[in-house]
Amino acid sequence: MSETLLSTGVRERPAFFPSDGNTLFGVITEPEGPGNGVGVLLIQGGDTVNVSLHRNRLAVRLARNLAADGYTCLRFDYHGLGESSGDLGALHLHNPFTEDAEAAAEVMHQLGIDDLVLLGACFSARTALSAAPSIRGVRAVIMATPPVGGYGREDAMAERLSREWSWSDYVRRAVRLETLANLARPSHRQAYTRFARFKLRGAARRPMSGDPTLRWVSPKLLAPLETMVERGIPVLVVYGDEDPLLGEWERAKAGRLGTILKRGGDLVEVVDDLPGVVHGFLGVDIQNRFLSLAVEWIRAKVPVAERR
Amino acid sequence: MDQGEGARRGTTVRTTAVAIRPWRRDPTTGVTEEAGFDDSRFAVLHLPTRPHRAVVLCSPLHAEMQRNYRREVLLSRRLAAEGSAVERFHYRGTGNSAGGPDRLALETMIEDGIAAVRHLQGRVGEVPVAVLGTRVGGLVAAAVAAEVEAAGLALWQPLVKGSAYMREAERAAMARAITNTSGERPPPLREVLVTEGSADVLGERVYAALAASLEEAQLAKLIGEQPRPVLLAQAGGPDGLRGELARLADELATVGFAVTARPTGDAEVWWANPGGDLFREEDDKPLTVELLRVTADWVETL
Repeated sequence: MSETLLSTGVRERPAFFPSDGNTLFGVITEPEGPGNGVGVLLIQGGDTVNVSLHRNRLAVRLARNLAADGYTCLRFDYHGLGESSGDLGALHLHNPFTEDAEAAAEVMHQLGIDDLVLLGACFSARTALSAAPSIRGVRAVIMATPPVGGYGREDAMAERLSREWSWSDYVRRAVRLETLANLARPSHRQAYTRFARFKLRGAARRPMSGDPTLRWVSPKLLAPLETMVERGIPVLVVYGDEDPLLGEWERAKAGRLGTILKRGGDLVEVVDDLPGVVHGFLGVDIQNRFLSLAVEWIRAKVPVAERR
Repeated sequence: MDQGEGARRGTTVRTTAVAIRPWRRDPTTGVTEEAGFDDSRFAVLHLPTRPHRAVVLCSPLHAEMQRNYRREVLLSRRLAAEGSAVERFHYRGTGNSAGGPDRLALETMIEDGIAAVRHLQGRVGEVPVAVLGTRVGGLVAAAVAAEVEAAGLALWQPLVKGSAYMREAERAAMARAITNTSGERPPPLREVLVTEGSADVLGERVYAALAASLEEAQLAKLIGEQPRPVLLAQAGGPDGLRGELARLADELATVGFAVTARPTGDAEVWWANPGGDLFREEDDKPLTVELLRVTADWVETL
């Protein structure tokens, strides 16, 4: 078996490469002729997507579009997913799969691609941003619907409700017949305990924090974003106008995120008016809008060397 | 390598060269996994040192493909570790393969499946063959197995009638629409396919050519008349096969097929929005464990 040449003058070849004791799988998409020296890492995976193809082949289409324009792309499966080896472990925004992104970047470097754009959605947006400061040659980062919290999957809702519900909301719901009946079910008991724990934890922290309402914003989002700004690296943040995660982002701007954005000026571009929900890419129209936006933004923001 | 999450500044990582290859070898089993393109069809081969069987996997499509992806990888690794050479592939117009998705149809999928069997036989020689298909891939696998002398046929929750695929897709889209903020019901799928030539089902582009090709497809007819060993696995039926699949099993047994029925305890949500379930350790899921076990056991009997 070998590589394949697509009718658009783009060729593709598979690649297995090491990452922290695992072997990851990816597909390299490149122009048939000389490329423009810029590589795009398509980082896939999160709550709604588990293979590097992405939904409706969004990543495949992105890679082939970009390669037809001279870019070299790599889409890859995280450890424990798709064709890669290893065990997945837990999904936690405090621990995005930075090492996998770094290993994929190393593949690009070995192909002679020094300038890189990192692109990811949701959990993978956090992976892209977290990995960016430690990867040589990052020229831009694209994040679709990045969550701003630092929670794990199981804790996400409990954490959000602890911010959005008042104590009286909690009490009102706790005494409902339905809630009381559900106490007989272990999974519900666990969930209720989690809800209570987050609310109590929030209350306990309040007096100690200078900025009590914003403790939920992850420093592991803020620190690398700040680094990007300091280094003058452009970042594109994309939400749909109905994205549930947009509200988090907006609220977080009241704190350090807002300061970073202000300092970054035009470096951090936030597009928050794509119609509908971007998270999960559950519509073909939103996929296509994102694809066009990402391609155009890369063309506009990342300087391209002479063809080589 | 830098272990940090990116908060440390100015760190450059990995200065040593890493191996980039189109294959990997599993050090514990000695199985080689080889990925590449057979013409325009993307495929992955799992090759033990001395294969004594060849197994080809025919995947489902769209959201169902994603749901079953890792399960198929794990099954292939297990079968290869037990001595079977396995080929998985992406139909042309899907996944990593080349080709336009608008030309995808049951016929092209069957062509790809037959090509995969020939390709694998070219690598491992004359050994017993089995073909496995899941959901719509079950229709493909049945037709492919019918083309191969004495090939075994394993079916995971297959569609007994091709028309069910679009019906289930539409149902999933409806269910999703109910939870949308707008609450707007999507127009009937058939209508959209006629007027637009394609439809958006939960973010998956489904084309009219595929729908048309599935409309009249029936598993019983595609299996052919030559009796062969058949494994029927149904998710979510601990007390035995149910409905159309139970009737199919009876019909096949009546005409001399060696049918092994394996209902499994857990149901599977195939089309609907996967929610958080995709990003979990696949081999921790009871359904996956059970499907892998019954299939590996059945393959051993061939």
